[in-house]
Amino acid sequence: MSLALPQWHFSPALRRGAILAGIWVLLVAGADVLAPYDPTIRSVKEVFLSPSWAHWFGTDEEGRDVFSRAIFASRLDFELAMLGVFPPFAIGTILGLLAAHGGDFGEAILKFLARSVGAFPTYLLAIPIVALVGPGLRGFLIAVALTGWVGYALKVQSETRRLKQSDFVIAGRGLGFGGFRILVLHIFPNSLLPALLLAVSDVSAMLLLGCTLGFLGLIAPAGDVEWGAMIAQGAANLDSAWWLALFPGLVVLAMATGFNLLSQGLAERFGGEG
Amino acid sequence: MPLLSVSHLSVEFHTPRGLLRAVDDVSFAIEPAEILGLVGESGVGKTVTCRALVRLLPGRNGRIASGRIDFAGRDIARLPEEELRHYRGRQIALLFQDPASQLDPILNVGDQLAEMILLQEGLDPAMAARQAAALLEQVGIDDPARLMAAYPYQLGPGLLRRVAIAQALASSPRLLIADEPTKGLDPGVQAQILRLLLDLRDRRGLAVIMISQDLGVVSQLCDSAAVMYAGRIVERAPKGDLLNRPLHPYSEALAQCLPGVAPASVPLHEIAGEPLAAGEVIPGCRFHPRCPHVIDRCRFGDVQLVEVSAWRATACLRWEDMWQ
Amino acid sequence: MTALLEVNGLSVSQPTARSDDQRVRRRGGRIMAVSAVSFELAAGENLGIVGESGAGKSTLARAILRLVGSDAGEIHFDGQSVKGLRGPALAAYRRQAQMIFSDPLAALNPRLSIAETLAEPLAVHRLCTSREAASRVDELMSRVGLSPELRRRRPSELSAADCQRVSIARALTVGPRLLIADDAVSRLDVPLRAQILNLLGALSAAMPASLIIMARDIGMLRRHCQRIAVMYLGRIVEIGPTEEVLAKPRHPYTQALIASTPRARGDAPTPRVTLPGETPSPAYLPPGCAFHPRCTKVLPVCSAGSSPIRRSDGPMTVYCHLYPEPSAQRR
Repeated sequence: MSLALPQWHFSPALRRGAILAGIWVLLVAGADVLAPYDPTIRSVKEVFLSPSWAHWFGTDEEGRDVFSRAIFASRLDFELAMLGVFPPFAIGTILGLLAAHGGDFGEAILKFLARSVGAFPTYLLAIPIVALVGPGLRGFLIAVALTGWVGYALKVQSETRRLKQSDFVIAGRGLGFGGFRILVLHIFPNSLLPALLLAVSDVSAMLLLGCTLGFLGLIAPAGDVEWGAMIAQGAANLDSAWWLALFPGLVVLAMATGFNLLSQGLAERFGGEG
Repeated sequence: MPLLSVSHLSVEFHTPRGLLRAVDDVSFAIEPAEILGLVGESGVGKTVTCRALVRLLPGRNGRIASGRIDFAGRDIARLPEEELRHYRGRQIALLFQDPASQLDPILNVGDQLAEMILLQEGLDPAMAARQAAALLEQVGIDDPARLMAAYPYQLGPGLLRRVAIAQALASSPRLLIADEPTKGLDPGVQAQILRLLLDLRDRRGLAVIMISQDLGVVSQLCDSAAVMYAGRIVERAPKGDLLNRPLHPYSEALAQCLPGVAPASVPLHEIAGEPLAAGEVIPGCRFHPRCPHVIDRCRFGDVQLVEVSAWRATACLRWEDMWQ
Repeated sequence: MTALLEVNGLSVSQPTARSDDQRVRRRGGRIMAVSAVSFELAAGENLGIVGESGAGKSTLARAILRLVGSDAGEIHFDGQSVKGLRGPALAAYRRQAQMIFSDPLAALNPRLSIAETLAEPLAVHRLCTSREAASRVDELMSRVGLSPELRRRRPSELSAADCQRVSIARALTVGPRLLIADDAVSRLDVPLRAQILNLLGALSAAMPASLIIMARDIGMLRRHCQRIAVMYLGRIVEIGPTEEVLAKPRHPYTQALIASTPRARGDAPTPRVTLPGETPSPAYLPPGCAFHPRCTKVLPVCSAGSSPIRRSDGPMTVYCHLYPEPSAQRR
């Protein structure tokens, strides 16, 4: 016997995650309105101003307002994090499903591939790939597509394997449904939830990867504002102007935490493991 | 003097939809060495009632709204938290529905029991191990030494139950609250566990409150039974009377839907309709929408439990008709 | 009367997920879940199979429906062997033989609504036009006592008993001639079991199909089954007419099982332990008669040699050394 009380309230993790993610979306959408200054306007008179009421996050070596730059940078980083999640999600889900469908042989192949890719740290693989393809969003997407699918594939594969033994799939076989129909209509939709939860938490991993590559100058060479690049710029002036690196760093931290909380909250809500 | 006496106990839960009264004005008492059955379908408030007795309500938003829980001269409903620890798990032990959830999966049975004993009595480890073995013997295990090295996942459902019972007994409680202790067990193992509870009562004078959905089980084990419906007790009776002469249509329905009772030639009785949702309140007798004997009078006012004899109480307005 | 289903010497082994036991590993990590099971089922007959968990009921059900492979033995459905069936012939057989699972929630796809679950087999086998589908779904739902308002609900929004009704309705979509209910009530709340048992009884009276009802509690079977088979550790130990099994059980295991079943009566006896210990795992099958370590009437012959062979005693078939050899009977 259990208490059938409705539990519709949002957990604290879900609420906080949603608020942080919401702020990010707001920044992306409303950067033109929210930013007090044009992020590209240089002012020789206002170089290296420390934080004040006029410039909340201070100004940089060219006199640009760091607060406004951080707001505009949210756009490219949002693009990196959001688009970056899709290629690994799609590739991993399909590979995982195919591997589980292919039985022991398929699983052996998947394990081999996963181990080959997993043997290298993601960053170590991503940096040469981006350097090879050329800096920018395209290189970033190719790099994450090649390295990020492993987690999704293994998750979907183990989930599919479990579902193949579940009663409702056996019932489907008993009703004479074809193997492909069962895989696509019965197993796939049910193995998607853990992969989706992984994707939500992967947003923050993608953000961190994007910022790291940005820090190394591999994302926005054309001078687009990007948090990682801003931190790199600040790191060069750390002893004279601490605010240059600190504030973008805090923003990245907050956004990454936001999506981690969101994924944790969603996992609690839908009963999956994060 | 009763060991535990519950009077006018109400438990409420704060939910986004408002205040839900999951247990409403429940009173009962249990003597030392008595076995009391608490019977009803899922969601009628049996588990919440029992959890309230040790103030371990499920979820964070429940509280005892009113009533007294008198145990050994103290009102548990009003005891400060630190004093409560002397009762909860010590004088009053809980046996959860799922024994696997009660036991720690990474400790072997011996350590599991010894931990409880050490926690409570401050003995040395060797003494605790000896006492753990003695406990296992008490719950009918012939070879305690071998079992103590085993881990919970290695045990069958019957042994797991026994270990959970041994753990509950580690603190020498005077009252054991068992939440559906035979749920999901095979008939053979179920009989063993019922027998064990009966033996523990006989040997240790343990009082037991047993939650069950099965009047068949209750009639085998319990001295008396209280039937709950929609957060209230609707009938209280000694066990034989409940089956032979129920004074509430709900008790009657619970008995008649058992395959072993009615003759094989007629279909089993089905209790029509759905039970009320937890905390739902309707005017009149709460069972009236499902009752086959409903009359106009049943639909109005508040139908209370009335004492019809020293041992029996019913909340049916037509109990005199049922008596005949 | 010809048999609809004939099972002859069926044995099924299953891989164990992990086994740290030498004896199991030596057999390639497989355990015998069903051993040499034989029985017949006449058209329109209801057979009850009782056995505790681990008796092999689920595996037997799945093997009959060819959802798991078998190691030895024959299954004939309508006089035809189902062992070699493939492709369309297997699909056609599966349409005639359906099962209901013990876990009501797990048996339904959590993402599909009730109407979608019931419409899918109709569409896959083109049993009706897509325009008729909605009315066929309504008709099926009313047949199993589900209110049509539940069409759009998902399994998690239904009670366990209603989920079981959906499972039954889904099995009926393809018009089976054999329906196997694998322990369909034991996971339901006790007061709800009556609903599903009554439904199975009403359906079996209304349609020509044969029914195999499996249960852990022999009391569940006495109402709707003409015959009862008792299983222990993968073997049938006794089979016979329901009243005879209940009134005069021959096998010591059946006797113990019946004695330990609670009966709700005012004079209900205090619980008696008639089956000491627990059923061992099928991975540790005792030699000889598998029941002998727990049997109160054990003879020296029981623990030695092979498992007992089939003996007849009146209307009953029993596999037990207590009963005379077939040859002795003839004399």
